[in-house]
Amino acid sequence: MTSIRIRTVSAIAIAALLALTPLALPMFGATFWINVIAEILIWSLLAMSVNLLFGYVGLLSFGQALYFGFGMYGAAIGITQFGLGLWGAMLLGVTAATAMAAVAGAFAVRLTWHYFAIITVVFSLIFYFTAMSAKSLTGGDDGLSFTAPPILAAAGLTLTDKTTQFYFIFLICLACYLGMALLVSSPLGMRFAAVRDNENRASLIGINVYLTRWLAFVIAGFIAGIAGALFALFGRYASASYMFYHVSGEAVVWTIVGGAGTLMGPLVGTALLILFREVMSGLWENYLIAVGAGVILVVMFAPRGVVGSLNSLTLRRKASEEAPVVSPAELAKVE
Amino acid sequence: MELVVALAINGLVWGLIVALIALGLSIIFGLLDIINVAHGDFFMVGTVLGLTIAGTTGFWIALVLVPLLGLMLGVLIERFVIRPTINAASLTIVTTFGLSMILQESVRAAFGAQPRRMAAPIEGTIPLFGIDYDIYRIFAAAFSAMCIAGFFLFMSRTTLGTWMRAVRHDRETATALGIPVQRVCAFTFGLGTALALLGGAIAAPITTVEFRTGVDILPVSFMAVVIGGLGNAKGTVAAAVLLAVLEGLVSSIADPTTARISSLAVMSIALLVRPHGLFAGATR
Amino acid sequence: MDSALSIRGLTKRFGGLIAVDDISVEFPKGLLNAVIGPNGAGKTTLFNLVTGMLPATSGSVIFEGADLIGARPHQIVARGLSRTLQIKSVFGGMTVADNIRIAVLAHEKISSPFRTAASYGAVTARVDDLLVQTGLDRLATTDAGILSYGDVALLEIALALANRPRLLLLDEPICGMSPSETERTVARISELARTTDVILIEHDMEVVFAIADLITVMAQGRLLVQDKPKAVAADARVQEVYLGAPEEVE
Repeated sequence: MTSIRIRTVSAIAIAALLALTPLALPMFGATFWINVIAEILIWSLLAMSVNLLFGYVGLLSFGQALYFGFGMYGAAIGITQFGLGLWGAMLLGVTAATAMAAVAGAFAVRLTWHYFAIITVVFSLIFYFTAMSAKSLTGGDDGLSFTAPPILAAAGLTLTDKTTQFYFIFLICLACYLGMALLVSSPLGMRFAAVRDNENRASLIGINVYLTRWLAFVIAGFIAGIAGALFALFGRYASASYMFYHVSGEAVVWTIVGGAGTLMGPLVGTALLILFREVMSGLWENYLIAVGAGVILVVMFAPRGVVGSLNSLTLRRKASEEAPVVSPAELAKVE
Repeated sequence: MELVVALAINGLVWGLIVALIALGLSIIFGLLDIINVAHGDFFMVGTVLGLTIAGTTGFWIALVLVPLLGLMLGVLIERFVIRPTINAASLTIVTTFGLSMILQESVRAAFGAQPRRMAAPIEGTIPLFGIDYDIYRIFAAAFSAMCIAGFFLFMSRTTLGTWMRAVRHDRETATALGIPVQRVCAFTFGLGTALALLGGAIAAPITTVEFRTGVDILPVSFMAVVIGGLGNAKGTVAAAVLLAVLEGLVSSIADPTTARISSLAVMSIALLVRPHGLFAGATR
Repeated sequence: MDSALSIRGLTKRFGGLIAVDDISVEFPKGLLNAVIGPNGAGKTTLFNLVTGMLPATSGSVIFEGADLIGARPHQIVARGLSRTLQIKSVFGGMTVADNIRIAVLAHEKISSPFRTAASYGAVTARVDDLLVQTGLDRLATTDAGILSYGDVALLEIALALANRPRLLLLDEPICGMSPSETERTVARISELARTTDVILIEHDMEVVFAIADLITVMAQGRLLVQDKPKAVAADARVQEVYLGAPEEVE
């Protein structure tokens, strides 16, 4: 029980710290970082979508950028072509992403292991190339720029104010994290765990493995769509280059480094790597070499990521990974 | 008509080069169960090394040196990067992603971000099917075909080749038979890398050389491997050539992007209908 | 006496090999039934046929008035017939309680993402019942992955009980257990048999002759004899088929 309490307290602490950022940072003259942290929050949702599929259901998707892209373009096109307000644009983006995930997922989750990873990339590439060539609609590589509609015109809340924008993003992300926490401990979440743990046993107790995986895929697409829509609104910009498999790959890296299968892992991993980028890109132009090396080292020495490894430490009292075949109680008995 | 012929022959040339690269990807997957996301970057390193070394020693020596360097590089990577991470099974793809970042950025640092072009080692054209076709491209196709043939001969006639096939079929039995599986795996990764670098060296005179070339070639190689059948070498070669020729022909009536999208769509269908590949052969 | 399970003319052919040869047998309700036989007798194949994991070549299996042949495994489970597997396999990454919980949730067809699993009171009560019934209550919060082999077998039984089966097929439940574990498990199975119909495949003759009410002997895919333990032990055909009868009877 103690480890769960530690984790809950740290999560609340992190949330509280984040909530205070726009108020605290200006005191250090670091208002620039408010936007950086807002961006970290957005990207952490993309990592969360990878984490849901990989960490909780055992499916490694290398193509979540596709649903991010649908969310991003849904919002951007909603504003530029249909004159939608902010909430309408978000709704359009998220709906588009979820719908795409539902369709793609129906095919993708029929495959497992390597084939699943490959087909997620293939799907994402198909739409990347389509987006790149449909320049009139998507602006291709150059992308679309636009002004963001207000959050709530009546109250004068717009995204142009850094603090308001931060809280807008923060609250939506908070809702996603809370939703994820609930999902993981819900009956559906237990089905995910069962399917990941022992597929055969799961179907023997009556779980429809295909349907369970598909549901996870749709939810992951939904989350990636939120990330994409938020990104478009945040940058007032949408570009097909964000649909490339490299973006999906980075989200996978953030998840693994942070800790797959943990709630805060995606956030920690994304934060670490984006902050690293912000700090290093000024110092060393080729900092990506360090990132690549770091990724390899994490897989080698800490495959459970930062949060995963920390969790293992707090679980020291109960025997964990290197488990005896016979429990100590059995050994103590005299035959 | 001449355009179609030219595009089809271009397709054939590239198809054979891609076949070489895809073969490397295929054996790495077949024996080591690794999806090597850095494979395109191995090709890129081949183009870069080809151009750089050719500047000093001339193209022909570079053509020999580059794959040898590839072999060494591959063996080292297998030993120090792949082997320590092989247990976290699905995570090897993340390892190779990290490797890809390192390779791209290292080349950008050492070579610069500016794309370069290389002069063809054989100048001139000859008339072929009514158009004047670059002699070097014909050489590239022939040489690639020769190397592919050499690969199959190696696999079927040499001890090492037989060992590789044994390990691919049944690792446990191979170990029981006394085959040094660990070393075979190291060599396999080395050979796979060498093939990609060789493809790069051959392609250097007919493509732009820069740190991002790998990104384009990776999906193409994957398509060949998947459609041909993961682990099925002959199928991969056939698929590579067919896909490239097809793309070449389609781009004569539509733009290259549409051609690429249609190849990807074919690949999706192939994956869904027959994940083990369209060609009969070793399944996994 | 009523039959828990009626097998009529059941045959399974694998090409030229006949694994189950025209078996007709009744397993009465209210008795602890055991199926024994030397290796290769076809016992597990019989279970696989009954539970839909293998398609039958011919014959029928009547359970509660309906023929099970042709139904898929999860459908048979839904009809109230559960089995444990010979190769024990549970959800190693979850606690013992959660293993049972997911089985109960799946049976009750609960899959909401909007409430915590622990908030379903009736489910938790059932999980606690099963934990007590199988003697696993002291291990409720232990990860299933580190359980001793004996406890995994008990957990398998708990999972099979989660869907309230009227008939429970146990495939070599005490295989690989230590003497004390065997004792415990056997006691549990005996108790279980009071409320649920049980058919047991077992190799351990001491155990079988100690707890079974009715023994069915198979050999080479065929039914050899079905009788009370004493009679089976004394039967010359059974002694022939095994290399020697058990030393102690009853």
